[in-house]
Amino acid sequence: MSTKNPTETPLMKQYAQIKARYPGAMLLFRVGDFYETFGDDAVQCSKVLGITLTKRANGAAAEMALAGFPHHSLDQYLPRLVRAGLRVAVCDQMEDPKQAKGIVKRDVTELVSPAVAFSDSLLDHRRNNFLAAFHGAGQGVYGLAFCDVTTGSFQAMQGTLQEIGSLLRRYAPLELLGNKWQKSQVLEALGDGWPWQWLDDWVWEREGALGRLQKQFQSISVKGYGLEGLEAAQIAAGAILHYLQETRRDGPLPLFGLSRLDTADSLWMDPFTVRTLELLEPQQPGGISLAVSLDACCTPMGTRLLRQWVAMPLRNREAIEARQKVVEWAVHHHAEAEGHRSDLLEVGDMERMAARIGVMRSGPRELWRLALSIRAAETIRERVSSEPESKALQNMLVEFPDLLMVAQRIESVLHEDAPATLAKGGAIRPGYREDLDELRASRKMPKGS
Amino acid sequence: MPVEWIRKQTLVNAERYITPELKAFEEKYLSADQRIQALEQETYMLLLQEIASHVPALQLASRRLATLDVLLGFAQIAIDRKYIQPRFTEATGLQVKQLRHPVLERILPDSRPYIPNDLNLDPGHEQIWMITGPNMSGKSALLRQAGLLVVMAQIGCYVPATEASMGLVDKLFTRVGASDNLAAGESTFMVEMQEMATILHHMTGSSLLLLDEIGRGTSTYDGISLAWAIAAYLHEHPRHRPMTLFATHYHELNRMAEKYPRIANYHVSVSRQGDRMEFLRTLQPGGSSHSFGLHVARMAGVPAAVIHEAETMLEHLESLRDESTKEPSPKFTPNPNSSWQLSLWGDGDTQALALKESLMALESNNLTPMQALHWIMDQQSQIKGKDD
Repeated sequence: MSTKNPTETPLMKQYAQIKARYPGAMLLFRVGDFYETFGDDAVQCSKVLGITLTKRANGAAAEMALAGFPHHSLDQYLPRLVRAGLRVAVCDQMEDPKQAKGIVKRDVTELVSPAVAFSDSLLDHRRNNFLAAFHGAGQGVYGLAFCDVTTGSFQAMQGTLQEIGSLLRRYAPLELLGNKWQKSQVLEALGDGWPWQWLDDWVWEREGALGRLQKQFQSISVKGYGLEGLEAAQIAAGAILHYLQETRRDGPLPLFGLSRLDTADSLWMDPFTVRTLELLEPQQPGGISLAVSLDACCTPMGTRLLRQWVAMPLRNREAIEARQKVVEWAVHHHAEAEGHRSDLLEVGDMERMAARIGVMRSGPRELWRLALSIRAAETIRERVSSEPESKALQNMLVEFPDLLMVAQRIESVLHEDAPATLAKGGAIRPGYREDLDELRASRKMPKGS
Repeated sequence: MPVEWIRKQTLVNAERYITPELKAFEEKYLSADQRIQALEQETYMLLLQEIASHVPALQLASRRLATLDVLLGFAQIAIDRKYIQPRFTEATGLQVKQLRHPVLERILPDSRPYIPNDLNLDPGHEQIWMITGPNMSGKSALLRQAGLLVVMAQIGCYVPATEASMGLVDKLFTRVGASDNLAAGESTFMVEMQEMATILHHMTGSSLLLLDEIGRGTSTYDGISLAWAIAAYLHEHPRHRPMTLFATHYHELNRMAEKYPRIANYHVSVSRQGDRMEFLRTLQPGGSSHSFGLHVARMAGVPAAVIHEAETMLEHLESLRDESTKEPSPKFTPNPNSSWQLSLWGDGDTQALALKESLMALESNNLTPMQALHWIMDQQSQIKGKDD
């Protein structure tokens, strides 16, 4: 975009400044009651949303493409843009236009991308939301890192191009980060069939990557993650951290530790095998994949885990037999197993509720829902630990954290009919705060006045 | 109208006023509202922060519960679909009784239940199963269900069989479905050979290879030679004896079993009803000695006269082959009493002659089953077009 245009309006100057800070993102620019897009963004936006593309005289310069929608349609249109694979920056007005002197102050309040999203409308609850980064270190050494911000998992590995190709097919990331300055080599190695996002050269330097890892996990060495000496893996993991920091500038990074992904731990399958056996996706529309066929889960988090298991079968007899023992127990104790399953229905998607709390995105109703989930989880834990014959299950629930206090805390503060959003009012339970109770009492309108 | 009243709004049929007292009440009321909101906000954010510090514990609990959820689901499926627990052994091998395909068996109608099959691979005796049978006979499904068995067993799930024991598989390689892509017009041969090269470089003695119609993407003799050489390589490899299911429609490969002791022949059984046949989809030991193409054509409803001529042609071509390589091949005996066969070729019907010419021009050696089927469809549509 040209920066020196003497006849450029102040609004467009502001737009250009903000736009330049978010390369690679579509900028939704709030003007009055509308979100507007300009130029290439507008062309893409109109195509994805099916809204009208218009032209606007941009000072003395050539006409500029423009497409916009009413601000109240954001909830409806944002998910569609992101699901189309776009990274979207939402730019709002930061002050009341009536009180603004000169041009209204604007800034980006939200940056959403397919793999860094938290809202329910953007997430497919049946599968993980993986973000991946690929780094070629030369001499046939490649690094790959994966994370899912909605579950907090973060893994990295180093291996051959074939291993990496196979992992990518199994994890099916929604965004794959690559080095902009090695674009042609990277594309030659993995092809352009992936949702690439290109990051600048400096992101892929070792020092910076290590710094980001140490800062995130407050550790002094990479030994702890089992990534010692795996430079390409460290750099890929560092690129992921950079991208997350870019996307969530102020918010905390919802990752809880990095671990090494070792392909020797799992059954090796080439991409062709994953595809022809229809493990994850059917080859014909309307077909049924193995992952779907074996899904009798009660919770979305079970469905997602099953998908990961099918993508990465084990190669360790002990671990397989530990799983078999639980299945065996459940086959022989069908009534008890049914009881646990109905409690699991109550647990729901605790994993993603936790992720949204981690980025402070939960409303009161969801927090109350979490308390219910914890209660159901506690019921399961208690019953499993009191059943003498369920040793296999007890092993599966080992190190199960005590969450009862968390539930009690939520129940003591929130109203059981807490509204979805705080702005609706009435989220806090009567009796929790005296000053609040008094204010509420004084607010009651005297009858008949 | 009291003087202290202040006009606030004028409507069509009303005036609205406000008094200073009302105004004061409104302000107090509004500010209470704002303070309530601020207090709720503050309380809630403190709570959220406090709960956020428990997120790692919540994630850990979620992972544990998800694991339990998947495994209890496996048990439910095992009960509903009659799956059994596979037993793991130290020794490499795959011994399965009455194996079914977990997805196909559920979508087939009750009237046509899925036909189970035994599987018995072991590197010491039957390392390679050479499975012959035509395309429609379900060879690909047999190979796929073996692969699915391994995946299901190694994620801890029960399996659709009546008995199963197996050594851990370290790598699973599949070359299945070239015939599916044939219709899409893909040039698969190069890709196929690239993938074959990858497999041969990475396999170990604990790997399972599922190879379907290797070499079909090239001419018949090329294909047979390559398939033969690959099977021989797998058998003769100095370090690894990967378990292999090798499906092919080249019945010539059956002769490998004579030379290579760990190659075992199996074929998809066929039932004849008169001179019609039906694929039973059950595997039987032993090879099959003749091509099924003509029988597929018969099942597809190609006129008997065409089938008869093709049979004569096949006999002729096979007689041209070196006697020493020729397999004893039982064939259907043509029906000599069918009188209209003679008239079809003999009465100078141009349509019949065109068909004959076209048939004789076919290079059946270089014909894939798909091409043969297309040829039949072409002829059919031409004849239909003229009759209409």
